[in-house]
Amino acid sequence: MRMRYGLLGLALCGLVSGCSQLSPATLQDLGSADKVVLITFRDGETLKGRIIQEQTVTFQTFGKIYQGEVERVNDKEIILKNAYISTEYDRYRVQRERMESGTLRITDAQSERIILPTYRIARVERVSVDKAKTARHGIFWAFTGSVLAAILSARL
Amino acid sequence: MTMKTRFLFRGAFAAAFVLGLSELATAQGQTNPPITIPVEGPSGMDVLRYGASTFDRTIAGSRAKSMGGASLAMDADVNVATVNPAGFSRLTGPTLSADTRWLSGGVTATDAPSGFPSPLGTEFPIENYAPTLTSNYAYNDIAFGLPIIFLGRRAGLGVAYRRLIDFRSGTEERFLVMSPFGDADFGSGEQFSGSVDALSPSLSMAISSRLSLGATINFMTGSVASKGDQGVTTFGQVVTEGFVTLDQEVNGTSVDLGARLELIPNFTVAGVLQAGHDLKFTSGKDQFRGLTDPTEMDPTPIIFNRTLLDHSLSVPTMFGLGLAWKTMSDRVIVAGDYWNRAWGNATFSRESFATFTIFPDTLNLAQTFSTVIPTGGSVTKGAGLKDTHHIRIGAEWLVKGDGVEGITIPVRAGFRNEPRTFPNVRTDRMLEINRQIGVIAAEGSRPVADRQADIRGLMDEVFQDGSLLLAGDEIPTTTISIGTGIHVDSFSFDVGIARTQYEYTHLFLGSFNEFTLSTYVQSVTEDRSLTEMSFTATLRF
Repeated sequence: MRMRYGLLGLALCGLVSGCSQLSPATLQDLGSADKVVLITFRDGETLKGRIIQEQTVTFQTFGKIYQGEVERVNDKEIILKNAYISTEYDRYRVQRERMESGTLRITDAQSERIILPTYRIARVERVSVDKAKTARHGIFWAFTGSVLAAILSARL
Repeated sequence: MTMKTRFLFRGAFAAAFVLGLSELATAQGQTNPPITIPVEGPSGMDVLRYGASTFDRTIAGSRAKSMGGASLAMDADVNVATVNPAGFSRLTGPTLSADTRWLSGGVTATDAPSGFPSPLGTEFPIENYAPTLTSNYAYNDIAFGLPIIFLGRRAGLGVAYRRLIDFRSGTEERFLVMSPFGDADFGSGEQFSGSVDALSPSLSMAISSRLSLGATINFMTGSVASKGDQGVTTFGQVVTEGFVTLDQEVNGTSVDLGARLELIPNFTVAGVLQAGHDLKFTSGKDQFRGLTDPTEMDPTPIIFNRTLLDHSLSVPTMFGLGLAWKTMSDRVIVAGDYWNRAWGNATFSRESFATFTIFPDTLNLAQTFSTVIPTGGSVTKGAGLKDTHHIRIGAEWLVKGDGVEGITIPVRAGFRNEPRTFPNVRTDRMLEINRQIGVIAAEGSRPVADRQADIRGLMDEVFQDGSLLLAGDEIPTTTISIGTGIHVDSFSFDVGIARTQYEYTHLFLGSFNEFTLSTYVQSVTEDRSLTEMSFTATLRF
């Protein structure tokens, strides 16, 4: 039974990994409850999620990934509230430390808000499921999983 | 053991038909528990316990199978790389592939026994002999390859779990035994399962832009097993039945070396050397229950539990040479392989044994009971296998849609000539031995002890050289294959169909006869055609 769950998990991982696609979008797509967008800022930071009030989004900057909620969206800025660091990694440690010691701060020590000016947006893309690719990956992992299960059942 | 079971087997038929089949239907409801007799046996190779299997390695991947098995010089295919490890350095990205196959077949008997000989001197005709092959589905391999930079050069790593030797097969036969008292339906079948699988890590390196070398180590483990049943029914009721089983483990280690050279642009040659090694067959057991006497009201079944001697099969060094030519903007590939597999040099080693034969009835010395007694030491014998030099030719045409970007449909076809490792059965020497036993047993003027000594000598020949006594000529086979698939971006799914045809002569009733080494040894010649469908899914990450 444990093996079956393992195979199922493996198959699901395969299904969901790499099966999303990015398609061009505009600023008008912000504020839609149906559309998940990926906003790329000029310095490479990204904001991903449904950009409407109270929706949880993911903001990735150098070395840190924040989870937060959208407080407000308008033509000039996107404001996140209740932001917290969900993941921290050190690949961009030098850049992060330089930014944190500089005048441009994403948040201060007391604030849980992140203000993202819209003039910094370089690109807006819509995130959607690539159905054809998902189907192909599903076929592959289901097939490979069945072969693996056959091997394990024969040998264990 | 063997001669006695032989007579139980035949005696049951003779008595049944003489007394009338109507009595058979009353001989039902066995209540006596079976008597199990443990005995020592020779090795599995001595008594041909591996059916119609072949020891040759399977072909990896639907692409190669569709192209007649030609694959050594082709590139960018992780399945190909499991056969020619030099191919791993040619991969363009991490690649995972899984491969299965479904096997079915048809068979027509062209020469079947015409009747059952009887100890009473009568022979009851056989009619409607109808053999069939059973289908089965099995995994073939899972392979992963990864291009790397190693010592500053383009290289590749690979690991595969693959079915190297496939034992899965099955046969059934049914026929009518005609007697003056009525007809009896005889049915028997035996299903072989198991395989020799290998966990095969590989390393490949590009020595230059044109030359790649690679090596694979195969850690082989596996098993071979069979389950067989035979039975006689009349008036819809089973009147007697028996079974035969086999279980044995197999293991070994081997090394494969591969090279791939692009002689000129679009023309590649390749070579693979599979170093000679030993396959160790251990822990072998088989079990046999012959047909009980259907005229007895409550017969006691006798089950022989035989412990087979371990044996080691020497697999000769084999090599393959291949070439591939790409043309028409790489849309067409023509490939050919030649494999030299000198199975004729194969030997097997086992513990030496003495044959122990007793005579339950001194008035009938043709009835014997024989078993083996291991004596220590080792003996090496020819395995009675046949060379299986292969010629494989195939072509692939990649159809790329003009309007649909990224989709490629391959169309493949191929041919191969591939004899089987096990030969046809020949029965002349075994029949001659049986004839001599009959003559010696009837020489009433000679002392009993002298005649027993002569018969013991003949029985020793049967046990010591059983496989060679029955080894006939080779079984040539021809295979025609086609295949297609779909390749989209990093995903591909390939399907191949291969049809193999050959004429095969084997012992009548298969392992039931092989086990008993019956004096009434008969053979059946069949036209067989196997259809193998293979499926391969590949994803490049």
